[in-house]
Amino acid sequence: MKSDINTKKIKELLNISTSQLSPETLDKLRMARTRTLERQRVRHRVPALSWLGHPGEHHDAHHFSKPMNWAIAAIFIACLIVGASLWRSYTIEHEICDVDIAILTDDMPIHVYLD
Amino acid sequence: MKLLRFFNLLAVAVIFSTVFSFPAYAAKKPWAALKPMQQEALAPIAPEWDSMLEIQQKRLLATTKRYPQLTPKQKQRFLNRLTEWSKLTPAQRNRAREKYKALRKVPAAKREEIKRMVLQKEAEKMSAAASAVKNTPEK
Repeated sequence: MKSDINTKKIKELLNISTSQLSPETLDKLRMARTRTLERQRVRHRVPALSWLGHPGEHHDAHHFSKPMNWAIAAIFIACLIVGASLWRSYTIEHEICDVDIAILTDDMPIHVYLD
Repeated sequence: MKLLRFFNLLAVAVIFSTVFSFPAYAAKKPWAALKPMQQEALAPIAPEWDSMLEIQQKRLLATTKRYPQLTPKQKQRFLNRLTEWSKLTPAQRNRAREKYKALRKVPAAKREEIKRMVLQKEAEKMSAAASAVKNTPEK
């Protein structure tokens, strides 16, 4: 049997049957639909420091205000500063060690460098 | 999310490395706690070791790391000069370092010439001192 029911026909049939429903049932259907859509809402997560390369964009501004993310960023920056100063002092000490051993083992006596 | 996790891990790694690098940085080591190789290299200053400042100990210990690689002649020089070096004030040691660095910047040929002149003067001084001792009448 050839079926000549198309989408337009289906829509019309559904509208007719909906108009036959009681207002109570329609309310329940509407609430169920809203609840389902609420559950389907996708949470968008953005990395804490994603704004670093895009200072002008504030499409997810509420995310930056989270204290935890700011704390992580602050700790990270503090660690970078401490790490940089430690690295600097390490390289200075390394250079001093090089010079000390050269002075202690070189042909020239120490007092030459003191005059 | 992955970026956030990466930053968290990086922050933790930096905190750990910072925390664990500090005690080694500030530790003062008693003579008895030194390794045999370190004691060998620092033997001339053993009596003064425990009274030395942390920074001086640390710098001397750093020089001993290269002690095993030195030639016998360099080892002898190192041991002979260690007492004189450790008796200098920090300002004198800094001055010597600066002068050494300045000399290192001089072109190699000129540096060798300067070295030759200085060593020649030293030899002359030594021989003059030796002849003065020889000519001093005994009492």
